[in-house]
Amino acid sequence: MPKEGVTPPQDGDLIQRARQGDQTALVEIYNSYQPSVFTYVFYRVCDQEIAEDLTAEVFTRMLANLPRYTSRGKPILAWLYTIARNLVIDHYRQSKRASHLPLEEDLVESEHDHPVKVAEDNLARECLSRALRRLTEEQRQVILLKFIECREISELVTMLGKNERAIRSLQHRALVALHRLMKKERCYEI
Amino acid sequence: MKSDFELILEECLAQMRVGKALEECLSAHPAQAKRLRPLLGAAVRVWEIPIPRARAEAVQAGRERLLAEAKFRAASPSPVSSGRFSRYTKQVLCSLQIALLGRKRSSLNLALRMAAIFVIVLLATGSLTVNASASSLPGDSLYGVKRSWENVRLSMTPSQQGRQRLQEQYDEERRDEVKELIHLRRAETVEFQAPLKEMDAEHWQVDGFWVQIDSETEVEGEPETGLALYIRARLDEDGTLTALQVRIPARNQLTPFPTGVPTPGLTPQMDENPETEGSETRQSPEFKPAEENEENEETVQPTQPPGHDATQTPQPHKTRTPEPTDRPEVEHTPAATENHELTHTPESTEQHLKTPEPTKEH
Repeated sequence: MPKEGVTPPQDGDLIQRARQGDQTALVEIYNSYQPSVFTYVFYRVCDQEIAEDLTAEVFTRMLANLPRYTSRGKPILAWLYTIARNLVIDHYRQSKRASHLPLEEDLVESEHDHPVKVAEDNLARECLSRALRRLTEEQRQVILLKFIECREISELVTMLGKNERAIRSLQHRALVALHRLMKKERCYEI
Repeated sequence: MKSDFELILEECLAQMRVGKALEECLSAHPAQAKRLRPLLGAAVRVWEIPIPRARAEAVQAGRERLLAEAKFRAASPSPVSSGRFSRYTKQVLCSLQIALLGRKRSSLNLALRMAAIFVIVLLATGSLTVNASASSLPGDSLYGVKRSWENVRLSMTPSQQGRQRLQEQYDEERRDEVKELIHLRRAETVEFQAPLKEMDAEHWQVDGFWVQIDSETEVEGEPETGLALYIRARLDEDGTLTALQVRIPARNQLTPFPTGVPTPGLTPQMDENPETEGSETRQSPEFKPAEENEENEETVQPTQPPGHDATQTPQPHKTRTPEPTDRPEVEHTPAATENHELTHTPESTEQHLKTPEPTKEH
């Protein structure tokens, strides 16, 4: 079942307040976008702890670059995705772990879920992660935003800086590629 | 047609997002059902996978880290961050690049930019060459550059007083060059100006140097102690200075050196034309007649005359020998020098440049 989308906060106002040292605005930005950033990073590195560390680092870098940030009409999340993408690339360069796949116990677990269900979910995430990593950046962002973040097409228009028709076309190509890759990775069999 | 399919795909995804079943969507679009099925199936599979979430403690730690970083930055704002410094550096380099090479679509044509680069390179090279020539000596490859630069500086000095000071500095430089060449035992042709201190038939002492006058020496003018002489001489490796040309300004044009003063304040014009204004412009307020400074002669540190052997009898061979009647009373005679046991090595010359000869008999 599709998940509920996240209502974006008033980005311009938040940025302005954060620049002026308003820590409440910083906390608001963090609370609003941390889950999206974590999901993006997680599906890139497929490691719970590394994803958590890198996500925290994304917001630290955001703070450092806040005085020079210009939105150019794009939401904060687009900027955070760019920071996250660069961090992930740096991470792979430094650790040379591009082909690293975590052990199952590294993946997130819930105390309330049945162990079998937890294992299946982790395997499914791992499989999706492998497939997503082989998409282009734009295709990956469409899948994350539309099918994991459950955002509207209009949001993708501002996020990716494309018109609706281009977004629909990109979504089509992304789903075709994802289906092929998930079939190859046997993600449907989990 | 493709865009129609993309519209149908988006419509199905939107309906499934609010709860409609996949099969219902496919039955609504039977013509596209075959193409739609795998794509909608992929979307459903992604929706089925639980969204990964960070652990609560990790979320809290990340929030605290962000706030701590914000507090730290607020407490110690960096006036120029490394990133900003880097950008400033880039801006400076970019400005230089634009100045030299122009923008990609600059209206400056290539020839102008190349000319600007050429001028800059020329100035930089010239400056380096002039600096490198500062310590050059006669015979060095850069000596011509040194002298040319001196002439440029002289011609570009607007005030008469400034030119005079500069010329005096250069005159002293010439004499220092001769001393350095003697020390290095280098054979060169040198030229310098110096006041005449003493003279006999074969040797003249000028400001610490003994200059040999032989039959080849061209002497213009009448020598007189205290007068500034222009001397072009051949310096041998043993330190012997043999005058090739000696020019003495006419009496009514001369500006005598103050005798006994190591650094002469007055120098005559060295031009071929003695009628130039040099003798007037180089008047020094420190000028004193030679007679008034005779008592200072003891402070001069003359060299022994190179080649002035006690066993030799002086044989004057002057093309134009100074008239004996015009010759002033000089206390230093060849006979007097016979009392010296002289060595004519450059070392001894150098030594005598610094140390007065106490045994000289007058």
